[in-house]
Amino acid sequence: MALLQSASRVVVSSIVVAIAATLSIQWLSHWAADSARTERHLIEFQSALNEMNAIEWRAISLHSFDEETSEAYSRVRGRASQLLGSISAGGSNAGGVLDSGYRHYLGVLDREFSLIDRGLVDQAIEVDENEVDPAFVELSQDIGEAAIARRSESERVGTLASYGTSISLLLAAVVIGWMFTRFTVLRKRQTRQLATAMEDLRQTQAQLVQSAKLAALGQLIAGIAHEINSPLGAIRAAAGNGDAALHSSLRDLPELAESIDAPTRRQFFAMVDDALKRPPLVTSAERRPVMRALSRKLEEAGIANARSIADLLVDIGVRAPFDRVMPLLQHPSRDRLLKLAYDLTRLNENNHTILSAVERAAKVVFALKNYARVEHDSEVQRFDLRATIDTVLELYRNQIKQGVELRCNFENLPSLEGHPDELVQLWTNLVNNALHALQGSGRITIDALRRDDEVVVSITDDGPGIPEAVRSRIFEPFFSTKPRGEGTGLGLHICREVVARHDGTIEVDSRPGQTTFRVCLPVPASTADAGGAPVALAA
Amino acid sequence: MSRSAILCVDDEIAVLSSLKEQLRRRFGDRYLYETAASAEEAWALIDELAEDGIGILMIISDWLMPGVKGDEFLAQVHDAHPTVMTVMLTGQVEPLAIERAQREANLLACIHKPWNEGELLDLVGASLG
Repeated sequence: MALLQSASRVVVSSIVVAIAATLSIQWLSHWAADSARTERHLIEFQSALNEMNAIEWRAISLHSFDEETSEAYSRVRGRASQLLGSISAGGSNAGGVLDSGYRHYLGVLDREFSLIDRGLVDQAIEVDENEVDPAFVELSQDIGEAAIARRSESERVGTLASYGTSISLLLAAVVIGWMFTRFTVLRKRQTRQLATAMEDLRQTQAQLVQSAKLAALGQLIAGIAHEINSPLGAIRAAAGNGDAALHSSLRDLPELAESIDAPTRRQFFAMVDDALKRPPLVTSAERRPVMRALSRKLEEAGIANARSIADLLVDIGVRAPFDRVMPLLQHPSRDRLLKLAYDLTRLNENNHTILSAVERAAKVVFALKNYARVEHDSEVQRFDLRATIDTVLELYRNQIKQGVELRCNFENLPSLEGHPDELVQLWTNLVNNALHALQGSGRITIDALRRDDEVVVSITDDGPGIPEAVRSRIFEPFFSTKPRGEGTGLGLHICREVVARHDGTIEVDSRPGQTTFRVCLPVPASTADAGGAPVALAA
Repeated sequence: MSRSAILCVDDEIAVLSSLKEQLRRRFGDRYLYETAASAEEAWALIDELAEDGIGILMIISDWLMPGVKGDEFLAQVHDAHPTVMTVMLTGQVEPLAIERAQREANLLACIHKPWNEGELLDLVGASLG
C-alpha cells in the first residue's frame, strides 16, 4: 500500500508539472503570434498526448481505471481530437500522418485501459511497453517532423522571432513528453519489481507463520503424548496388578481359614480393615517418617529384614500406633499373612490408581478441547468487556471469599469486537493463576481502564511471584509449575492465543509480592464511550 | 536380607505406585523398592540410602519431569555412581535425549509408556541377574 501511495504521489506531482508546463507553453505560444497558430496547435497536441501518458501511468500504478481517470482521459482525448482537427484544417500536410498515428495510439491505449479495468495489470504493462510507448514516441516524432515541415511556411508568414520561439517551445514539449515516457517506463519496471518482491515476501511470511504453527503443533502433540501415555501406563499396570492381587488372594484365603487360629485371623482382618479405611500415603514425604518409625520399631523387636517389612507394611496401609500389628509380625506364618494383606489392600488401591489416571487423561482431553475451540471459533461479535470479567468473578466467588481480598477498579469500559467466550477463558485462566499463587490468602487487584484507542486490563496478585528462570517459558504449551494433575500447562498459552486473536498484547511483570498480567485490547473505532464512575468492589 | 534397591523416579504418583507393585510382585523381598517424584527428591533419597548402607542397583526414570529432565538426571547419577544401571520409562522423549542418556548415562533401555509389564520386568530381571 505504502508503495502505491508514494507512486501515486509521484504521478500526481508529475501530472501537475506536465500540466503547468503545458499551460505555460500554451500561454507563451498565444503570445508568440497568431500566424504560428498551427505550430501552437502542434504544441498543444503534444502536451495533450503528454497528459494522456500521465493518465496512463496513474492507471497502471493504481492498478485501476477508475472514474476519475476515465473522466480525465475523455476530457484530454476530446481536446486532442479537436486540436488535430484544427491542425488538418490549418492546412498542414502532416494532418493525415498525424491522424493515423493518433488513431493507432488511441487504439492501443484503449486496449491497455481495458486490461487494467479487468485487473490484468501485468498484461497491461506488456501492452504499454510493446505497443503504447512506441506509438507515443512515433507520434511525437511525427509532430516534430510536421513542425519542421511548417518551417518554410512560417518563414513566409511569421517573424523569425516568433518562429524560433514556437519551434523551441515545441521542442521543449517534445522533450518533456519523451522524458516523461522514459520516467514512467522506469517507474513501471520498478513498480513491477517491487510488486514481485512484495509477493515473495508475503509468501515467505506465510511459510514462516505456517512453520511456526507446525512447531507449536509438534510441541503440543509431544506434550499430549506424554500427558496421555503416563496415565495409560499407570492404568495398564494397575489393571495387571489388580488381576494378580485377586488371583493370589483367592488362592490364599482358604488356607488362612484352615491353618490360622481365630485370634490371629481377627487381628489380621482388623489390620486390613483399618488400612482400607484410611487414605493411602502416596508421596515420599508422607511415607518416609512412617517408614522410619516402623523400621526402628521392628529392629527393636528383633525382626530381621526390618526395612523391607516396614516398606511392605506402609504399602499395605499400616499406620502408627503399630502395637496392634506386632503380634502378627511375630507369627510363624507372617510372610503369608502379610502377602495376603498386601493383595487385599492393593486390590482397592489399584482401583483408585485407575480412577485417578482416567481422571487425569480426561482433564488433558478437556483442556485440549478448550484449546481447539480457541483455534476454530470464528464468529466475531460485539460484546461488553465488563460482562466477561464479571462472569469470571462470579464463577470464582466462592474461592475468592475464602481469605482472598478482591479489589476491582473499572472505569470507562467500552464494548469490544471479538469472541466473548474466549475472553471469559482468558480472565478465568489469569484469575485462576492468581488464586493459585496466593495459596488461599492474599489480595487480587483487577484494574480495567480505557487508554486512548485501547483498553488495559491488569490482574495483580501479591503472591510470591514467578521465578525469573521460568518467566520466559510460562506462555509455552504444556509448561506448568503446578503439581502434576493440577495444571495442564495450557492455561497461559491459551491466554496468549486469545489475546493475539483479538489483536492485543499480554505481558507479565513479576517480583515477590507483586505479579501483574497486563492485557491490552484494541477498542474498535466506532465504539462510543460507555462512561461510568470507577467501581470498587470488595469480596 | 536386601541391602540394595531399585529406585523409580516419576512425577506421576499413579505410575510410581503401580510400577513399584509390579516390581514387588515379581522380585519379592530380593530388593528394596524406592520411589521419588522428581530428580531432586531422588537425590535426597540416594544420599539417605547411602547413609544407611544401602546401594542402588538400578534407576528407572521418567523423562519429562518438572525441573531436571530424565536424561540429565541419569547422566548426573552415572557421573556420581557409575555402577548404577539406568532405564528410561517415559510417555514421550526426544531422540536427542535418548542419545545423550546412552552416551552419558550408559542407558540400558528406553521403554515407552504405556509399558508392557513382561518386557520391563524381564529386562530388569536379566540385567540384575
